[in-house]
Amino acid sequence: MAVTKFMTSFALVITLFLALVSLGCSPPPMKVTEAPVPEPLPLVEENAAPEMVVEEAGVMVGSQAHTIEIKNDGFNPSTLTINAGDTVSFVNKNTVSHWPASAVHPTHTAYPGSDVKKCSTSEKEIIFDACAPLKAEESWSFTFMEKGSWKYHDHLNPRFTGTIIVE
Amino acid sequence: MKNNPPQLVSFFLRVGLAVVFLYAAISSFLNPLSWIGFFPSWLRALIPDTILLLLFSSYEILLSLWLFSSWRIVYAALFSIATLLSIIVTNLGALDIIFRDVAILFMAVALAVLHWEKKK
Repeated sequence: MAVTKFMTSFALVITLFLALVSLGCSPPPMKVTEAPVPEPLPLVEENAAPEMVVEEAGVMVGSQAHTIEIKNDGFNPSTLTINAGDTVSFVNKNTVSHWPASAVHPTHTAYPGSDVKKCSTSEKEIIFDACAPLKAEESWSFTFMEKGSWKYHDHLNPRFTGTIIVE
Repeated sequence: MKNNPPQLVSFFLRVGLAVVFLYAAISSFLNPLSWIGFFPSWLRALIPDTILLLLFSSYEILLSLWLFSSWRIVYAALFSIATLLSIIVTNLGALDIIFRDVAILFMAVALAVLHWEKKK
């Protein structure tokens, strides 16, 4: 009986320790501020011929813009094939908030360099993570430089998933 | 306990289940946005998110303490089964995330079976 009590106490201690570790490892609370609503980018079909020639330094020539709409049934289109250097805009066309981010929920680390913990740092602009809920009609854009097949999801509704294939 | 394997098995199953529920409860307090999405939308339409999280987390903490206590464990196991089953069924679209819950569900089933004979 004494052994049982000891083991139970030991398990409680371990659990409390895990809880404290998770407290230390959890990202700080994120302040959600009103983001300015950018002009939605025009919907560009994948086979569209014209390419944007960007003259500013540091932006790839020939990159295209794509749009994924978030509706009450999820991401549309849920699978999108783009070229490296293309930009994808996620536009919330639903009445509830959505938060597009790289897989895996809730750490968002599948896309190279991405991590939800970076949302409260200066690196938030270069990770595949909106870092905050998008309200109705709000949008967020990300430029995909890494080639591969990148799964993503809605952090506020992990059942909504999608894939962006970067060639 | 050393000479009683079933008791040892019960202990490990109870601790494993209790840790899962306790971690989920604590984490949902610390990072509510990471957990609220697992609740079905019809439930979120009925109950505000903060209250829903508070209620469910409190229930998970009570369930974990019950599992630790070893009192009437067959019923704690049945509650665990019902909880995990409801999480799995309402999140089949997120199987990439909840596949571990399937394994944990069978832990709860094993615990219930282990204690069912004792109940009789």
